[in-house]
Amino acid sequence: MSDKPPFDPQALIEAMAPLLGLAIKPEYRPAVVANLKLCASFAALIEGFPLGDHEEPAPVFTA
Amino acid sequence: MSASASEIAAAVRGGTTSARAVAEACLKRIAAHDGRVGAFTDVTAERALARADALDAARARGEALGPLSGVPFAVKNLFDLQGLSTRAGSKINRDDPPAKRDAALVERLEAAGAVCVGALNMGEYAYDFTGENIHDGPSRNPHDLGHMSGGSSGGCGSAVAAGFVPIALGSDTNGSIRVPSSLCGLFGLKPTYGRLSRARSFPFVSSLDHLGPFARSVADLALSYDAMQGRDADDPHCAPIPAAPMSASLGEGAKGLRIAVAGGYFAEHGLPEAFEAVARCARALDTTRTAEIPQAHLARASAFLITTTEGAALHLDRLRRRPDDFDPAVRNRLLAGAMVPASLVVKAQKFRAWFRHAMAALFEEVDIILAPATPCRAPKLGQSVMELGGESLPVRANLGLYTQPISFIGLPVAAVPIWTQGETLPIGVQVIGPPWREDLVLHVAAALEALGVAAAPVAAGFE
Repeated sequence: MSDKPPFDPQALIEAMAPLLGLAIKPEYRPAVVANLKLCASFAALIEGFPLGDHEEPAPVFTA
Repeated sequence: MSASASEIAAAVRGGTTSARAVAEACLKRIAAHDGRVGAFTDVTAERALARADALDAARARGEALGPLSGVPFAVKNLFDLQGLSTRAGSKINRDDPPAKRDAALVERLEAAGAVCVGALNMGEYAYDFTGENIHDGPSRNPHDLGHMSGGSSGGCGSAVAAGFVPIALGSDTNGSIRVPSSLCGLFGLKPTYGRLSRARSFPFVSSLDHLGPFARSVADLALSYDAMQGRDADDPHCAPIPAAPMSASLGEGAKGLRIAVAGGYFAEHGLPEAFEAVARCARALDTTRTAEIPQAHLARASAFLITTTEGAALHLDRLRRRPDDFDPAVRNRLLAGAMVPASLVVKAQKFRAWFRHAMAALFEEVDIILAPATPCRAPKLGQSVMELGGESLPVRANLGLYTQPISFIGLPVAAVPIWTQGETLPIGVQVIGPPWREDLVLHVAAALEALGVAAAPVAAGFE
């Protein structure tokens, strides 16, 4: 993962907000960016942990 | 209303007082004192008095009364109460039509004779550890009104610690029962995920949401818990297992149980009082054993990602239509959560399965794990930063540092309140058990209470 480009939360917002139909007003943006950085740091921790292909995701749906 | 639920029920059943007299005294107390506490958002006086009169009439007819007869209780305002809009701490949801039917747990408590007196303040949409609410004002800590009650079930902590009600029902997704229990000095039970029905309560994170009681004694905790157990087809996550009543066996104690103190993650990132409280419990229970909860920081990270993304999915339409009507702190976290890629969230759910297996292995070695409930005593209202281990950390996220990894895999936990002489504010300890072993956590909580280590008095000035 060391060659991964640095995470750009502004670019993610530009791409995702229209897809989701969300308006990110300028006054929201600094806090949304800060929260996205926090999410990315937590996601990176999980990504660094080896999980096998056969590790089942936790939620169970019963038909 | 400093009487316990068991005392009230015994008095009403025995006819030494009426349910009406109890309800009137409770309502009077709330009217007199809640203005300075902020525990209630709705007081359902008419409903409570009608219910109390019906109980008194039933007794007069010679009918047998239930184990909670005449016991006043209140619920976090995400539980449906017939005739009220379920606001879930928000401005937006108070535009919803009134609920047509009570939440399942409200129905079960009332079927046992309890009397609902109202709905309680909470952090918006339960995404909160402070007990502050931008729309309704904060629920204050009765032990020091300048301090937080803890959240998100803040009104529950305030109402029980102020002696307004002996029992309150809250929800806990990442710590929202255990954090206010710790900050307000109460016993709180977060049962195993799937134990109690969530039907007709407003959700936050379906994968992680639990409901449970607050009380000032373990006996009252067990009494209410017993009345609420049992499967419910209206909540698909409510496990199809029979009720396992606890009240009769509470005195079994902790003898013979293998009890360990959580090390590593749970012995770092907190103030000395958090660890001292755990150490006092360990000394009283005569254990020197420690247990390492594996990868606890990843459990917290995973719970965080699942919470923010599932929460965002729940609120997506409201985020589009009424973003300015949210608490900005909640909105901005949910907006970020909406943009987290699904592949990362599925990994967090895969880690949840890994962590469950790892903890199952640990519970082969020990029966109970003790850990701090919060890293500090109640912060001041409005406080946004706290100093931990030389670092400045945001209060909101870090109050749940120790609770989040545990609810992540749905383990049953009793929060027990610990006091230090000379301190006006308490701090809680988590008594954690393996899945479906609420009996063990309540036995240990009851032992700590019997030993005088844990206690939950009504706050000074409210007795």
